[in-house]
Amino acid sequence: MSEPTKENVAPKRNFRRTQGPQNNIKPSNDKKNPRRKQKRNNGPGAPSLNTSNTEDDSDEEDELCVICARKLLYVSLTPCHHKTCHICAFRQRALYEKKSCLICRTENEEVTFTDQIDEDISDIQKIYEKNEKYGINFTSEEVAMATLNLLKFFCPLSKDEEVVDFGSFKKYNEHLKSEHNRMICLICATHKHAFPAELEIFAQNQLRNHQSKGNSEGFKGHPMCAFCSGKRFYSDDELYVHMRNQHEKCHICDKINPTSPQYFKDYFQLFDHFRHSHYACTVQSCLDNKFVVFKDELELQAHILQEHGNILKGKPKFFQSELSTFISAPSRVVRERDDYDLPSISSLPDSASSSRTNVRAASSPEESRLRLAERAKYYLENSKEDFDKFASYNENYAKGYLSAEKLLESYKLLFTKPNADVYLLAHNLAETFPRNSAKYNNLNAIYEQREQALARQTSLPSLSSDPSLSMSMARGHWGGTNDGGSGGAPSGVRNINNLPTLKSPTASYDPFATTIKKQASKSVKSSKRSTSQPISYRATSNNAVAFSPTYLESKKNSTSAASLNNSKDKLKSLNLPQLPPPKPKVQIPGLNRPQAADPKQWGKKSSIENADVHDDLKELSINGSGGNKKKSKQKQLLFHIGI
Amino acid sequence: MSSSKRIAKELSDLERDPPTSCSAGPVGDDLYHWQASIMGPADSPYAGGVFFLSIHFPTDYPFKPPKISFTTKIYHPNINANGNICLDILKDQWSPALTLSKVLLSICSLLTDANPDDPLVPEIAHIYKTDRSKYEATAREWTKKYAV
Repeated sequence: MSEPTKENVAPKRNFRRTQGPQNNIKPSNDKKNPRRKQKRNNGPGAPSLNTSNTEDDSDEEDELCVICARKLLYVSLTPCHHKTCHICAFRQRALYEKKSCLICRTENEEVTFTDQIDEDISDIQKIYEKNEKYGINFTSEEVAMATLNLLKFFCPLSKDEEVVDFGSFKKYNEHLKSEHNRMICLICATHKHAFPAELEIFAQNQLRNHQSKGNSEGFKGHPMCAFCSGKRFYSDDELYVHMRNQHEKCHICDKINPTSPQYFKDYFQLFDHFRHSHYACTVQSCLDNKFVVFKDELELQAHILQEHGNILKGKPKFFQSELSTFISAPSRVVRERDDYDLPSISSLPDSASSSRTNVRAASSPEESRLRLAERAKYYLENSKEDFDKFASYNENYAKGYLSAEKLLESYKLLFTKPNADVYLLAHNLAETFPRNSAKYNNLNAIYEQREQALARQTSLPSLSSDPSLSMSMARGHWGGTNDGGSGGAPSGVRNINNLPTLKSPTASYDPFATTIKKQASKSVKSSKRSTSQPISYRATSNNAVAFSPTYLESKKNSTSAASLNNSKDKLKSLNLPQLPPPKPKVQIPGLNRPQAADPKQWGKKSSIENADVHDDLKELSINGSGGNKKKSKQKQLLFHIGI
Repeated sequence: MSSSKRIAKELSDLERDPPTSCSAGPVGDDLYHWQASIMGPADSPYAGGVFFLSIHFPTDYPFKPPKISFTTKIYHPNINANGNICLDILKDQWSPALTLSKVLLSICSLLTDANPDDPLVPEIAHIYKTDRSKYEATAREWTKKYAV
């Protein structure tokens, strides 16, 4: 066997193309009648894929390959003592080019392919042929041919006498096209890791159908890139890699709604999107850096003050012109967005959470029904008999033969496992009925009673006094449909009840008061926003922009709504530990430049200095009118000028 | 190819010998699209919840892993808002010898023992590491809200 080793030194790549020499590797007596040999071996090779598909349905389990579930004809035995069929093992070694065991992932330099399917590798003594390229020891010629022929490109449509190995998918396809007016899918050919004989042969329109819609179960066609016309990919995975490498995804949209990524052809289009839908920083250095864009104006402003604070520190003239340039981008966004009030900004996270609740998709009757069934099966340990009983109880309840209480009694008798919770079953069953129907209410009342009893028992204070917890809980509700009013506690009261640090959690804690929480979460958010402003303001004040505390105060009093003030006062009175609004106010006077205190003087000065900017800013201030506190903060100095 | 045969075998195995804490089966007639459910493990904050998952088998299955994601919202360091699961055996540590039932069991144990050192949601992982009781309380609340 010196010849084969010589052949196998040949570089990997050449192997498939030089299938011819492979025939020569076969024992020399083969050479006498290679054609006859080939035909014979074609039998156990390619067709075995088909025959084994049909014949083994009723076979014993140990006759089947654990990987592909087909009948074992020849097996691959590994040094780690695992057995698979020769096709799966050869696919792994030849097509996936991996030497790891299909079962335990052990790297095996050599494996043995044999027809002695019940033997262990240690029992195999005689090796007929060794293939070094794939690291396979064959115990017989038959096995070797059956295996290696899998790689050959035989045309199944040609007559027997013409058996030719075309050597590559391309040549094979050319032959099919010219001789039979058929073709294979070249996308599958390169990515499917299929042996040539496994590839389907299509007529032209069939191929189109295969690529666009898919022609077999579980296959929906090869997805196409929306930007590169006509370019198809083997699967979503390959398309995803292409999108990631060749196109741009908006990371801001991704943050807002992770379920539907927004792709753009290139950075140019993406930047267009940034400017239209988000808040891009338009300072040149950031334009050069790319991807400097923010979800809301507040973040953009924080960025500008932090990164470009030096621009602000510069000469007054310079400073104003620079300021106007980077303010202009967001303001354009504002106009295109058409709404710029506080609520609209807070609607951003709202939409984000509504998408999140799509994932949830809870409480739909179908899902509740499914959940009910799964739960019952689990409690009953998959007992068919008991489950039928359970189903009949439910049917009786649905028809009105059983009352909710009676149903629960029956449940208790049926579900005897210690982990079975009949109240949860009642809850799931209730949700399969329309909301507010008597059947729903009766059942759910039972569940809620129990839950409330439980809630009283467990140590609730520790749970709901945790500020970030209640915040995250509230977030879970955002964007949920507002299903009706929930009694009408005034918003101020709700506010207090749901603020991060609760004084009396036990009183307000009610796991089912979802609607209250839903609305409350919004007011929490808005109040959070208003209180967070001083914080960001303080952060920015380091940049030596002259702020006037008196101006701040007057702004607040004049512009913010009474209710906001109210909640603010209440907030203050609560003395929240994590929100230190009083501090900055104490500190700011220290940083203050006395002559900047009078807004009127500011306005005069700058309007004299730069009339153009003045006009720009006037427009801005009109946009920002209507008591928008946030806006006024962002353009602190400009706002004065506008006035 | 061989995938449908293998998937059909897994289905019949599941029907013959159903696992105790999870179940799975095709959605409609499509053998390649399944739905599964997992019972929240009793020793975890997910206890009492019934979590649903969506499963897509690739046509190259079992040489490529199935695509599995939660359709029920869950608070977990290795499962994100889309329901995507960060689990090594669903990616590079996949082995063709693994079955869906084994994968579902692995997901069950991921619910009991999260892996905060390889998080998919760093925020939750941080809370998991620094304030376990807070993590558990939130996970319990989410379970109650979305999975009960």
